[in-house]
Amino acid sequence: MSQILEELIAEPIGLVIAMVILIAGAVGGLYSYWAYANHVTLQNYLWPIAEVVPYKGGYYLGVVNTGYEPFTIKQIYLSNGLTISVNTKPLTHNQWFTETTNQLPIAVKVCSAVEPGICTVVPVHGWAMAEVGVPLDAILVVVEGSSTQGWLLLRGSGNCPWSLTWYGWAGNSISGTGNLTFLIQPVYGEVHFIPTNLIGPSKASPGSVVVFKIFCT
Amino acid sequence: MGSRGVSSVFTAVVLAIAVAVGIAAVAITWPMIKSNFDKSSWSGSMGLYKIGFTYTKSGAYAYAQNNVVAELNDTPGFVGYCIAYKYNATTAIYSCPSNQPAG
Repeated sequence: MSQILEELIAEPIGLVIAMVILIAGAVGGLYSYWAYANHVTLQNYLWPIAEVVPYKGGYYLGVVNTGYEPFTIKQIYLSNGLTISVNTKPLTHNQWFTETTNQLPIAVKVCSAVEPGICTVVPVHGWAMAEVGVPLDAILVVVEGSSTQGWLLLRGSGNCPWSLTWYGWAGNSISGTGNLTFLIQPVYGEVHFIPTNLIGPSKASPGSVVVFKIFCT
Repeated sequence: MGSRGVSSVFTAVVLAIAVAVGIAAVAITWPMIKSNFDKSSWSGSMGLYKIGFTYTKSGAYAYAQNNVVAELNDTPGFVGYCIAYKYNATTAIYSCPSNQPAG
């Protein structure tokens, strides 16, 4: 084999042919590798984040571009195996896309806006519940008309005027006719309540939440 | 003599091509390697992305990293890279990049 090669390149025309083959092979190989590397690089810079929360009996899906490579959203995969085809305009850095669905979305397919053939599928992050913290120097007061008891709900309507007076480390009074949420702040010790047309606790400590139900007799 | 000269030319060309291919391969590979590191770094930062909730005198607020603060409403809204809304007076529902996948 090496003898054949030596004889081939011993002639100028053979040398030219061998060099052309070599260069073509090198260029072809490099191009293929460049195409692969370019594909992987671009795919690595697609940085979508997809999240979902339950809302009004369905699901509220949000997809944000956290990177700088623009992309479009192509498909939403649902938990029942179906997909929703979408074709959004390109999302750039920090831009959101939202959609409401009846079924739980579990994954989203996004494709590069520059090279539409380069895509990635990302999972949709689920939701959690969290308590809204109350500052340590405050008491959160929630006045609401809703109740698990129907008759209370009816009576706790917006036409029922209520008032709440408190004293102790802090003192004041507030009145209203409907739902209200407010902070008593600052307060560093126990506070006592005098409710009118409200059902709730008689006292509270800083950092706590107290709930009063509106109730008219 | 002439044959050896041609062979030398061929060897030189082969070496030149090999060097050129090596340099090109490194130049092509480096951005790909960097993109892998960047993606790992991004995944790590997203895995730690969380929000907190608190009340202020003007209502309930959610706060995320980089000093992102947004008021909580009854409808879903964006808080940095999270979605959150007020479920009731004392509870919020949220989804963040650090949450487990849905389903």
